[in-house]
Amino acid sequence: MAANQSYTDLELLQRVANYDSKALEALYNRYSPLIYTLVKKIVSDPSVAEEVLTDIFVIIWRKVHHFDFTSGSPYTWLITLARNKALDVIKRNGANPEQFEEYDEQYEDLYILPQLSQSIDILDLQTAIGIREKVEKALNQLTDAQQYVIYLGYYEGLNESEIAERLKIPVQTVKSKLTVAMTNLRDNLIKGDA
Amino acid sequence: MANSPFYNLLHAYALGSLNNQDVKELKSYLKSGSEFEWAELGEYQNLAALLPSILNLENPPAKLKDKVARKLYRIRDERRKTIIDERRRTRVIPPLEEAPVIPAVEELAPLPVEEILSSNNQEAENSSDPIGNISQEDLESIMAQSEQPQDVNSEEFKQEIINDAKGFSPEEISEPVIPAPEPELPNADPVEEQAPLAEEAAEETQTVAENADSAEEKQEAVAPTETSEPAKNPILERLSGGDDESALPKPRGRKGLWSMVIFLLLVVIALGAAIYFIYNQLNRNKRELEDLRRQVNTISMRSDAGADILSIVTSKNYKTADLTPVKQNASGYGKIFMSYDLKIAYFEYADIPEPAANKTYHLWAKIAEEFISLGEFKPKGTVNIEPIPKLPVIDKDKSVAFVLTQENSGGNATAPSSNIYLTGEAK
Repeated sequence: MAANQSYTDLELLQRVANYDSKALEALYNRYSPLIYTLVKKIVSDPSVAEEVLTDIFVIIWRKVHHFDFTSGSPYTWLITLARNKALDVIKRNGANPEQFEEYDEQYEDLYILPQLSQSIDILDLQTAIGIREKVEKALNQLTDAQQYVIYLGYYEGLNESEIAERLKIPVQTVKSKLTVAMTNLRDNLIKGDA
Repeated sequence: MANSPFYNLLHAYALGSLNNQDVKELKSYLKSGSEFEWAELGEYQNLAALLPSILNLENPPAKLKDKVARKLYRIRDERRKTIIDERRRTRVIPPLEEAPVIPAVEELAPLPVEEILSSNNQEAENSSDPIGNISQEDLESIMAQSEQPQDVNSEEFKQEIINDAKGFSPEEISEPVIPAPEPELPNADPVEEQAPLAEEAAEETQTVAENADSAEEKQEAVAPTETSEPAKNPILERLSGGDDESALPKPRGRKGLWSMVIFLLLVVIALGAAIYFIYNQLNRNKRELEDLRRQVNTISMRSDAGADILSIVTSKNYKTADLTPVKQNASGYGKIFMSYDLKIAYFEYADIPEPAANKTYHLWAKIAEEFISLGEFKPKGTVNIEPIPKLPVIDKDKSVAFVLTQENSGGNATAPSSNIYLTGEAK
């Protein structure tokens, strides 16, 4: 266990891909607080969050070979996977669960596993935690409207049309606000780094 | 640098809030290999993933790690069972020579749940969170959690089985070997191919074990058949002293069978020797009985002619002649008792073969180079003593020879033929 603690996120994922259960355990110990917090924020119900957390690590175990070990960002892959899974669960438990596609391997590969860019900087948990204050600061520098559309899009999983419906504004306005919000967030973070 | 046509979708796509139709169009565009701002997309994806980092972190319940372990355990068992059932139905057996590539036994080793739980508990002790054992409710919730339908024939499914199985193998991590980052796991494909092989190897091991068991069962099934035969052997039953087969020492296996065969051979040999001895004894007794009968017959015949013969041999002038077979190795003998004083004579002959058809024995006396017929004789038994009916006047001082020939029946012979059987001279 001590040895696994010294591994980077990428090394742990590689070991998990090599069927190292200890590495999965180390990955769980490292990521479960953040993933559990994220999932709980999305699904609200702690018991559901626990089930989703369990499912997420099962998916990681089974589908880790989908991760791009050459250029992938382990932190982004794991957090995006957790968000996608939590949002899928909360939507399926919603008012119209029948409107969703059957959850099978193909669906999981298409909509749950992250489709990351082929060119992405490697980001790990330690780095993410290290810059959390800067991220918070950059986020706080956005307007309330920008923060809200980001919140609706990321934590509630609403798409642009749904955000527009929720805010009763045109979809094009939502598109514009989202683009500006994300651009400003990045710029603020870069400024904060500098 | 001019932005690509779908650049304006990049931010919403990175956040995960792009409309479904736009997602399809963007993915279609990305798949086409057209120019796109990949690095910028990567930046925004990392940025979106950083959003949860500002949340106040909350540790999940310590028991959740046990849940994960138990769920992986259950999934592995279910899928292994599914694959085995599927393979039994299809009876598709991959080439055995590929099986040793992966140590299937190690992959399919029992899950070190205790080890994981122990580790979890130890870790939980160091944690600020309360540690709870896995409750029945938790366990039931795990068990009740339905699995999504899966294609058991898919490569990914097989990969999952290997993942699940190997993940719980009790391998040590003290010697970490991190493979160099590659686009795809270098051992992913082989493992995918070997997944059924690993299962097959495990099945093969089980099959070999079952075959061994089956062979033992077959051997045991055959052995009683083989060994039961001696038990049913009446000789052995007799040796056992009754019908109780349990009283017999039951031979086991081939060694016992051979021992039984050797024993039976010895019994047969002993029986053959006994029969041969008895047969010889019977023959000897039979011969002795025949001799006794002959002697009794002879004595009986002699007793009939006993008085005459006794008077011959007690007379003053008597002669006897012993007749022997002319041909070598011929059986029989003859003896003539004759008394010059009493002018009577007897012919005793024995072991004379039956004459040929239409033939009879004729006794001749050769006196002074002249043959005189002494009459015909027909053997009635082994030993015959008959009086000589035509005894001529014989000068006691002249030599007399006797021949027994076979002549035509009817007594018309005037001289002996060349078919002489016995011959002798009076002394």
